[in-house]
Amino acid sequence: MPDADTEYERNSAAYSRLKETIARTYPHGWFVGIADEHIIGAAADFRGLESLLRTQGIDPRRVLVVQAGVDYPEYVTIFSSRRP
Amino acid sequence: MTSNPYRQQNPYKGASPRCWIRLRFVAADGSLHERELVADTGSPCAVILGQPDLALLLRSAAAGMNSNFGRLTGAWLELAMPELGLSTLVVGYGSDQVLQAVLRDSIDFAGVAGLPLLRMVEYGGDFTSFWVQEAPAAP
Repeated sequence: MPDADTEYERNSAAYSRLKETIARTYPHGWFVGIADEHIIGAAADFRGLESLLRTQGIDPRRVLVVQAGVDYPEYVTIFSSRRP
Repeated sequence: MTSNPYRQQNPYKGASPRCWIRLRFVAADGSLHERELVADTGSPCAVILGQPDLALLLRSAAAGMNSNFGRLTGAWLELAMPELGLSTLVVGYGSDQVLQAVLRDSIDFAGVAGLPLLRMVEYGGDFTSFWVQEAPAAP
């Protein structure tokens, strides 16, 4: 079983590849789950997806959840906190 | 007669006095966890916590991003602050570099609450303290 960091990075890379497909396939704002680099479920709200994953025996904490059609920034600047 | 809304009023705290808020999160096992976060309108992230807290509180992973503090890991977090009208899921981020920055001000701080979260409440301050309260309903 991959460690959580590796799993997260793999699912994040999968999201980058699947982003446009997700936007075309699901209504805007739907919650889409990605695990093992694949889409494993979707629902209109977060709790619906969480329930769906649990009924499939999947721990939601190991799933990357994104909203269809939402643009997540790739870089942000945190202005007023001081760097260590 | 109208009753005054609940107001969380926090005296500025830290080596360089900072405004801050106390937030309660629900972990996946249903347990509640309170954290004190620096309130920072200069942060474009709703919540930033240290990585151990993010692992404790995450409900699902969320998309991450890069920042001037390095890589931010994303997670869906559930807030349980009905007294502030905040019973909702938000995308939060994990960064030990951000955590180290706020710990230099006070060991009580566990991270940063940024503008996307502060926009969900009404906030303000005076010479001695910073306050937040439930936002009035939209017209």
